[in-house]
Amino acid sequence: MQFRHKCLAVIILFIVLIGIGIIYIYCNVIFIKPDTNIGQNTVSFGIIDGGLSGEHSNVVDTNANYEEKKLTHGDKILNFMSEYVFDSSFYYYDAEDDNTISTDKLLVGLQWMLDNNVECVSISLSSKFYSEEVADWMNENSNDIKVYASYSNTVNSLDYPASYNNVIGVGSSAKIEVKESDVIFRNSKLIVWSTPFRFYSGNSYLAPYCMVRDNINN
Amino acid sequence: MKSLKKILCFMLISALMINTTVANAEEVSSETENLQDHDTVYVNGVEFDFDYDVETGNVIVQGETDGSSAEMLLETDGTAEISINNVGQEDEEYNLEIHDLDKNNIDVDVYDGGDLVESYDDYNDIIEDVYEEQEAITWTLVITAALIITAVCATAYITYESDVMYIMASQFYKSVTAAKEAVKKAAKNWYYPAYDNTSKNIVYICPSKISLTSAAKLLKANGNVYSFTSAMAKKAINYSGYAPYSSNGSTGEVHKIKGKLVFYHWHKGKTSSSGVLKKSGSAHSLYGAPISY
Repeated sequence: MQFRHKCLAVIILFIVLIGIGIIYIYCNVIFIKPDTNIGQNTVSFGIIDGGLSGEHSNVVDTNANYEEKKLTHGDKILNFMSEYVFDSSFYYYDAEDDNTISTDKLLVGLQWMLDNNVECVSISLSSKFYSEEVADWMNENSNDIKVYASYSNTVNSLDYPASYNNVIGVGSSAKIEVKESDVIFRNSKLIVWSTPFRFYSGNSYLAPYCMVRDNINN
Repeated sequence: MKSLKKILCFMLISALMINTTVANAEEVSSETENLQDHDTVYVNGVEFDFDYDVETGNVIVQGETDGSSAEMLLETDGTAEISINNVGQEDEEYNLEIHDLDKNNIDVDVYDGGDLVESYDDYNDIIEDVYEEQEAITWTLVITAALIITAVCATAYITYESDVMYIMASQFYKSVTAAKEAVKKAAKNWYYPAYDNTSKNIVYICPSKISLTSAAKLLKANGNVYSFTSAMAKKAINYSGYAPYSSNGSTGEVHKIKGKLVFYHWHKGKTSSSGVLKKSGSAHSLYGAPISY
């Protein structure tokens, strides 16, 4: 084979590999275009999660004491939201108590959101613990607040609060039965289409993303 | 008990009660025909298969992780066996006694070769009231041709939690409810042959049920039968052609023997020519729960 043909074969192989890579990414990653219309938004959003390591410019009010030293789960979600919606603002409730988050604190957080007139709240937490109190709260307040919650990253047949009625469960697995109102993505790997690109993985990001995407301009 | 044992037992036992949180008790009122004979549930990504045997009422649960496979056989009498096969390690077996499965009253004991190794008497023993963050991984990618390769690699960077696993099984709850109903039904309708070894003060009760007619025949032939209530015990004697007799008069007899389990019972009675009801033959129509002194 002549040198020219060899070069051509290598180039074709390279193009094919690149093509396969692009198709693979397209099938396995959700691309998110940053939303720039937040300035016109009148909906108030909230996030209930664990502690924060420091102040965030997109938090309008919070009960957090910033005691954490490392970047926390809550920090990462707020960072993601600032990537997705540049000038977003969120009410943030730190539901962590002694390094755990229990139903009692979750309920207090939900009520805190309601008292602050938050219209949509996102909870990127999951438990197998069913609480009648939480279920009742969701039913009683469904007209006043829209709750989004992440399904567990690992598939679970019991998954709360995402599985409660009047909660919009957000996940990425088709294995379990979900409610009609739930939003199931094809996977939980996200790339925010900004400069530089940022890669996020986990259902934790899907719930707040979905909350803002579905309500920001409504 | 080793951690893995605990996890798998925990996982399997919890199947017995988790559904009480999601199922309306009225909806699972033991309508056997409504039970599904197979179901699949997921716990932390692990798939568990449930098979319900409609004929026997038994339930088999099977699950498999990377290092272990576990199987539980739940029988309708409220007992269960768990066998765990560990790759490269010793296999394990446990027996369970399930005394209560209500969300507010959990009472399950786990035995290893006859030794009690774990007891669950609180709902929180099974499911902790803890909310977990859903893993979040983030990093910045430089916009270069390496993006594609990095992104592909990144997809493999996902790790999954693999802590305590447990399972949900509506079939389990339904099965236990069905078993309770079966016992209730048996309590109203069936008799059991009994053998009273007076010299050793031991009573054996055959687990195979017999009808009222058969029970009456046994009593007539001076055999012994067991039933659940005093009324049933008296009814069997009446069917045998005799009147129920007790030295206590209107209540059943019981012979107190220290250190032994004894039963209340009625004897066959016959009215003598003087008009007095007297004991006839050696038959016992036992009833109720055993009593110890």
